[in-house]
Amino acid sequence: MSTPTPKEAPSVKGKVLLVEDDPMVVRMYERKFKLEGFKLTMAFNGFEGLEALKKERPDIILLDIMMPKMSGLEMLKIVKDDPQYKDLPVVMLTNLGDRAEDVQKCKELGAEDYWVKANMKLEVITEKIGLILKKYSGR
Amino acid sequence: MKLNLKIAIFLTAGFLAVLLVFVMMPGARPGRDSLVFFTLTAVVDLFLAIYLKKTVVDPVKRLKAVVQKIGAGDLTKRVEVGSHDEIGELSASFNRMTEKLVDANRDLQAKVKELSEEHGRLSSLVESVKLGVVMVDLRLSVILANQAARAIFGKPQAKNISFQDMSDKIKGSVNISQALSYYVHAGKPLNIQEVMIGESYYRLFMSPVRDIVEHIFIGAVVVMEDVTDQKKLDKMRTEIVSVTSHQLRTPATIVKGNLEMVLGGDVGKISKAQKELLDDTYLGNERMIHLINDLMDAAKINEGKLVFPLAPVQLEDIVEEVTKENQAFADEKHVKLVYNQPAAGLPKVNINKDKIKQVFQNLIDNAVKYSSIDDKGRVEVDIQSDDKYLRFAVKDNGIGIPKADQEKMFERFSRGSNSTKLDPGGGSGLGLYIAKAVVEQAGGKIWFESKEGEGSTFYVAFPIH
Repeated sequence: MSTPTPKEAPSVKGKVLLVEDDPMVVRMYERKFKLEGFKLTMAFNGFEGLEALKKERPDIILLDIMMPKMSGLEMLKIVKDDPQYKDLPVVMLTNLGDRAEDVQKCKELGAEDYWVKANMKLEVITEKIGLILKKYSGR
Repeated sequence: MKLNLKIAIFLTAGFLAVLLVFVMMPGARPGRDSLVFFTLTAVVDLFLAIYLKKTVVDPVKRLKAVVQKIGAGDLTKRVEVGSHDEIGELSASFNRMTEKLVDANRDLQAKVKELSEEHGRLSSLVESVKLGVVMVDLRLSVILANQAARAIFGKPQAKNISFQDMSDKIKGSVNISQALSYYVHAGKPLNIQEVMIGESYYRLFMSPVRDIVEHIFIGAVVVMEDVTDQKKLDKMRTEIVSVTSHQLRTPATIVKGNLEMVLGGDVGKISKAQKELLDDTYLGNERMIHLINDLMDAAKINEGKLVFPLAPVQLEDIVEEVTKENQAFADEKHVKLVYNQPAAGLPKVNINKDKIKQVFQNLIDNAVKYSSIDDKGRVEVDIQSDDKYLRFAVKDNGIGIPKADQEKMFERFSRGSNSTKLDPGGGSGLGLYIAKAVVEQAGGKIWFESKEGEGSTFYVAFPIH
């Protein structure tokens, strides 16, 4: 919490697909991501996420785990089984426990990372998204 | 009158009578005389024999009959004391002896009754107690197993069970015979192990038994308590904690993120006063998140699921990092925080970096917090190694931990009774509980030395591979 700094008009850094079922959480990330210059697409469950994926062609997916209709893990499997999307970075952004086996499982399924929402500042999240996009754009 | 005197008088009188007849008889002749003499002698002998039978043989016979009856157990019989001779005396003293025997027998019976009542009480106590009780001797043969124990090992109808019955039924990694023989021979006072028998969980308390008289070890007693229901309840509680913790994280995330944007000026300038209030709100929310995380970790420990991947780590790097991160907090609390860097490079240890960092963070944070008195607080952090262990230590000169609280410091929700003054509404009482589990998962040890009013030193040691 440093002194407030005036924000400059950000340049577009990439397109983020946020799959998250809690509207207040969505609203919060939406505001921050837009402030930081990301283009944002939102979906409220796995099914909507897969549709948005086809339509919007995002650069990165932020994926919650516990969601109605289709969980994040199911969507992750489908995305990583699809040759068209398997190289797209997917980060689990969840409040589900940080159990070693959960993290391990998601990484084995092809997730780039596993972030616990409550334990990460928004500025750290946006910074890390930037780093991942940079890493993948160089490929 | 004495018997031999009686006989002597009788013989003398008989002899004198015969002699008198001879002397008085006029014109005595040898042939007829000796016939008469022998006849007279025979008559006297006959009288003598009759007399002896009456005074000696008959009483002895009566005595014998009574003795036989008493010998056969009838202590009500007594000998008739008819005369004042030796036989009379013998009979009288025999009667006295019998009286004494009756008395002794009565005492003995009372003692036996008392003892068997005592024994009955004890065995019905052991038998009826709901806990399983088994006693084994030094060779691990079962001497006694109560009703509950026999039922636990599937033999409720049997009078006793064998050691084999026991060791066959006890599931899991516990080697019951090894454990027992250790406790039997080492004579250690008490040990608790949790085992599974059938589908139920039992807690075993083992203690050696000493002979009451000679004080040597004669075996061990195993007391078994069914803790299945407790375990089920514990599991349910753990699941509830886990689920609710997860649910609690989401609103806390919303507070955290939105406040971060407000405080960061993302949605416009805020006044100094607003910032002060929101800073505290942010920190309060952070504390809640910390608490939720601790609860989730504690629930995982409870479920036995606290498993973190281990990797070789340079421990002094973490220590340096954590010390630096805590510097601002120490300054704020006017505590001098010193890190004594090791002179030479230290070997790596196999740990989970993030979790151990959290442990050190917790220990240093505690040390600073509890030594922030009169601006004289001092916290020293160091790290050393010998051939086997790498040891991290945090020493403070703070309030210390009261002796009464020391034993329980690593238990869940345990806090020093003097801690609230310096940490109002603070810690969850889970920090050290989690620290212990995390350190032990990596094969390490955690312990402390403390004196109330003088300070504490916490140690964490990891084996060097």
